[in-house]
Amino acid sequence: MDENPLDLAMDRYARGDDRAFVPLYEGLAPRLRAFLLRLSGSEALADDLAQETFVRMHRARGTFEPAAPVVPWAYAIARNVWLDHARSAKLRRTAPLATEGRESDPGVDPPAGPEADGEQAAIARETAAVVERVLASLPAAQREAFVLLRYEGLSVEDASAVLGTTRSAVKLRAFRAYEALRAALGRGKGSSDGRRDDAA
Amino acid sequence: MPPEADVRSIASDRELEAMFAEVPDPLAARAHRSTPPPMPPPPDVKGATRAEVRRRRVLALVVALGWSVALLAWIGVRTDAGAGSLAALAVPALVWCALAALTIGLALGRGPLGDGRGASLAAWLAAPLFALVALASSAPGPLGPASGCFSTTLALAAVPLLVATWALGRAFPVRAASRGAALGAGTGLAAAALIGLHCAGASGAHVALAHGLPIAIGAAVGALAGRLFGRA
Repeated sequence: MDENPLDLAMDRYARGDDRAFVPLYEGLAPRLRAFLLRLSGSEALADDLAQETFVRMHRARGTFEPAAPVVPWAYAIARNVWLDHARSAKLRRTAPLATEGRESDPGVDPPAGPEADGEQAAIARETAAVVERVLASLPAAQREAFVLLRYEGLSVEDASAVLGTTRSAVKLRAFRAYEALRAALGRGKGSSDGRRDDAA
Repeated sequence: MPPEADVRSIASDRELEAMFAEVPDPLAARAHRSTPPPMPPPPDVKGATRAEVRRRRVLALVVALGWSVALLAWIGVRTDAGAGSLAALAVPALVWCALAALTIGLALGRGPLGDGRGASLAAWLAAPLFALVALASSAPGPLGPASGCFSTTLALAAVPLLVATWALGRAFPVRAASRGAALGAGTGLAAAALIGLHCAGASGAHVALAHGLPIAIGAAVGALAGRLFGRA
């Protein structure tokens, strides 16, 4: 769904039209759930946190400014829900991503077609594992900025609104995350190339 | 890859996007599952509508102004010779009230200065600025009895901050503590302006401490209130 109808739906919801909740939920829930999954690493937890996000949006709906974009507002609330959960569970710095279903997702550029062989699948899994591991090890600020820009598709402007910081800070944080990921992927690539050379 | 120090100026948003696309998505399949998450039952919590929130804010403003005027009327406006003309009393009060309004505007506003960053700066600067001006513009002298002014200024600031916290509950998705701090500092500044209409103390130390300390206390309490109650 385009963001403009979502903004209109949120505007109606803020004015008290409860029927606007359905399009709002359908438009936002998959995105918020994906964001929370990337932060938490757990599908069950992401579902719970997404629901809590909608409860908070409902409580705060009257404070939603007319003509404001709803997506950064909703992401910011989802982030607060995650931060509260992480704080209460003391998870934020220890192992926020190391929860259920953390093993590499074969959905990363999945090998398809007749050329998809076991080695490609293994490389894809290994790459995914490296990205997950590095993301999990990054400071939260860098991880959040990178996730919002790279995976959630937010603009730098919207990401800075979600994180409550400047555009420059968002770019710098995301760039630092990118550097760490690139370095780790380079090392991973080198080591798998080395293994292949050894095998040859 | 551009050096880190240059990323702010060199890398456009589009360039960053292109760079970041190199990094694969480890959770692509799980993050974008085909079935949307199940629709939750309608929330059984009260979610005030925009009109209700507006009414609440107007009521809070009326209570805050009414409290300030009533308390000032009760303690009385100074009539000593040091007050001089009406302008000598009114001008500083108006200037501090204008700064209080600006600080509160930064706490509540949107946009480049009203997004919480300006609020944070205003909250930090309000009390030191007031104290510096008081020390620079008043005659040096002993602190004198300060508890009366201090507690009255606190009382002048407390009720507006309390009703603002009630009226602005869950209003800030980001930087709630900074905005709360600016709100507290703003109510403190307004209180300091009003106590200046009552207190005949000419000592800079008295004005800076007895009238100015509540600004810092307001900022601290406001930050806590923003963090606890203002965050969406």
